[in-house]
Amino acid sequence: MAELLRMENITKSFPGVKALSNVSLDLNTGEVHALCGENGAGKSTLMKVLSGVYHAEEGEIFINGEKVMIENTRRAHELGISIIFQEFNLCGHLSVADNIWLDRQPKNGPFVNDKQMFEKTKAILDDLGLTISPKALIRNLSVAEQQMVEIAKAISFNSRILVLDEPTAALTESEIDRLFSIIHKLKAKGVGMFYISHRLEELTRISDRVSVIRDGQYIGTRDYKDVTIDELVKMMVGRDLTDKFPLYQRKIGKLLFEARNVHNKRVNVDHIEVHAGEIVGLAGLMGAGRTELARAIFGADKTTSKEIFMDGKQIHINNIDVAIKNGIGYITEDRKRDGLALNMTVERNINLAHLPELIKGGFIDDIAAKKNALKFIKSLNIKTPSMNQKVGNLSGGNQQKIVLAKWLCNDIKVLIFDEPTRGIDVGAKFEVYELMNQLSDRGVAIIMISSELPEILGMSDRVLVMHGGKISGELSREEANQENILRLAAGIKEDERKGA
Amino acid sequence: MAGNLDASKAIEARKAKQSANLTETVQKFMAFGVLILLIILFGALSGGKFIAVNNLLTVVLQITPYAILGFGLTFVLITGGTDLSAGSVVGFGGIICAKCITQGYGLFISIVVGIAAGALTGVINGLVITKMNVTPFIATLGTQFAFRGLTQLVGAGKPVSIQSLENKEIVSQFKFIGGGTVFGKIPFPAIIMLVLAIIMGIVLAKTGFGRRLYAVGSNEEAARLSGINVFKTKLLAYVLCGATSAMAGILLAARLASAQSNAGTGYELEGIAAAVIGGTSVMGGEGGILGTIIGAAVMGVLRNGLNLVKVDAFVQMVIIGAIIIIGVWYDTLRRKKQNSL
Repeated sequence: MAELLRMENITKSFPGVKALSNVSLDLNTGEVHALCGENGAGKSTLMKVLSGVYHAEEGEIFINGEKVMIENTRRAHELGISIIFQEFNLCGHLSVADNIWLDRQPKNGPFVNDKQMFEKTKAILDDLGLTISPKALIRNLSVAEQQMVEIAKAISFNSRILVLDEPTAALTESEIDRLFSIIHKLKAKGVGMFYISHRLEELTRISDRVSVIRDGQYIGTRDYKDVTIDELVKMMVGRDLTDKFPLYQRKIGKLLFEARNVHNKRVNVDHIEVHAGEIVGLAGLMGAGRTELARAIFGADKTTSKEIFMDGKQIHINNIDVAIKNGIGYITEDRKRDGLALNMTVERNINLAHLPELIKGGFIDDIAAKKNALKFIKSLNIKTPSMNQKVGNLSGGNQQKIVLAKWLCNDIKVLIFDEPTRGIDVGAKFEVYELMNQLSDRGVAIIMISSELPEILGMSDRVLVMHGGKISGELSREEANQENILRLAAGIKEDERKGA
Repeated sequence: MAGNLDASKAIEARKAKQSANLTETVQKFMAFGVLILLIILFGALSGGKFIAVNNLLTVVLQITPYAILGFGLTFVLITGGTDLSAGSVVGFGGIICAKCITQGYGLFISIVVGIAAGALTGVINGLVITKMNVTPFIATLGTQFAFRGLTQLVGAGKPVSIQSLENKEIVSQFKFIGGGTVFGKIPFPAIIMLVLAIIMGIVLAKTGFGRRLYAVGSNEEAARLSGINVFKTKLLAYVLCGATSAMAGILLAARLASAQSNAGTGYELEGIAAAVIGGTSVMGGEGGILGTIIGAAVMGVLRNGLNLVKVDAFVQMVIIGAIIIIGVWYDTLRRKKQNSL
């Protein structure tokens, strides 16, 4: 395989922080080169240097052995470099074709040649084996389809170098399969790809080589077939992680939480219960109604019927306030969208769900608020320069800990985690798991919604699987395995399988 | 070795943070700096006329209604909303208060009724926005027309005059509220503005309600899921905005001893401009009362100063417009810089 790209001794600083120091990396044609590292390690910064968003103070970039200067993103496009970020750069109100050819539409004089544009789009989509209509509006597409459009756009630029930043974060298993088949097609065409992901399991299926960056330093590159996940994790965190999940003997207490007949448009659940100190995993495919169930229990969404019991006593949660007062917390799936106020400070976010206790006669008790924030910054090991830092400036792992702190402030009895470790790095994941164990130790009943099967299997005492708004099955820790969960998640009944 | 590295990193980070904090503080007081600069500039250009105490007090009196209505608007802007009906409520509050006085109610009661009328318009705005889910811009654009119409109806299209009342005592009391002086030459409305600024500033910075306002403006869904009553918080912001607008209207009516049915036209934009120049974000989640006062002062000083140095009135409008844009542009730059850190 020929060398396609070489980045040499890239150094980039931000005020007070050396984001990258002397990082060198190369990419061959038709190769998938995985890039691993904890959040804030410098992967994204490096990719932004490659795409002309940032300028490195030092270092050189060679494409096909020729030295190039990438002054801006336009130049990067000309050189055949495309990045697909986690957040897509698509215009929701425009069609697929309009998005792909944005500002480069084929023209007839001053007019856009729609016919030609749709034809060219169709050719690219067909080539990728996609059945999306070129005329479909972006906002009507699923997240996975939007991502495919981003890839099609990159192809339309004749990109030879493609960077995929956490492409599977929001995809379901079958969508991931489709993405990987496209990645294999691109490989066959000689496109070189950098692939950034926190999901180490999936790298096995596509990666040729893997490089690790830690704290802005290049740690090493390995052929993927020669490396174990444990070794990789060790490279990433700089220490041995004996296990991805903390070993723990949980003590399960009395029945603490019970929900019966929770019904609304998207949820149809007759009964779930959680004991004190128990972690119940809630598995299922996207759209199975897990988040909707959590929101219904928590009083965030309307229900047509709902009976909630705490300690055997019925409570009427008709709004969120009541849920919180009764010690129920809900850690949302998307912390940026609905978990944190990003332009508010660490202290204010930590105390957000805790305001009623901090207010004395209408006034905030500043000293108590600061004390409380400091307590959680210490106990959860939140890495922030100060409690007055804006939350938006912190890494994903630290943001997640702040969301956690927000709920731990209250006298919490039942905590619902919705995708507790999405988009956070291995080290922070481990800390979140340990925290869940500590909570369980204190007798908190935990419901954990997760799309990551290893997480469900590693943490749950019991697994509930949802399908189409209903609980399609319950598995004990012993019964639970990938196959059983996926079968229930797909809605396949036990007896059907036996019959087959 | 690793420990040393970490330590030196921590020091580096702290230094960066300190310098970032410093620049942020400097930038925060940028509007204040501009204000001082303008005062010095006009002082020099007008040959001292501008900085004569009498003239400065005139400026203060002039900005009072804008600033007071600006306080309420600041609350609304922080929630991520806006209130285009504030100017109409200036007229409405003033005319209701004046009407009460002419009907023979006491001064105190009339003022309370006027402010309550303003608060009521806020309830309407708040309900339309939260319960009917109409975007604040459109909702208050609609109520801007509606409240102006109500004002005209109450006054039957004519000003409601206090001056011509038989009860001369109440006339002079009312006029004192609008233009009297205390402690020598200090205009009474300026005292009201100051007291209001302090109260509302404290509410914003120190109370649970203040925090809820910022939280709602910063991320409404996160606030809601944290148990904050978003409806109540927003409603109260609009109620306060209505009340402060009415206060501004009452002061205006008192100064002239007459409530004009077209009073306050366009004031909402003055108030928004003052808040925005003072660093309040129209995107919500950021802002403060001190900034709004400074913003109102910048506008007032510009107007008065440009008059004194005999700049054409139309040119003045161009200059003030440019200042608003530059102020917001600068703020956007600052924010961008902060976010890229």
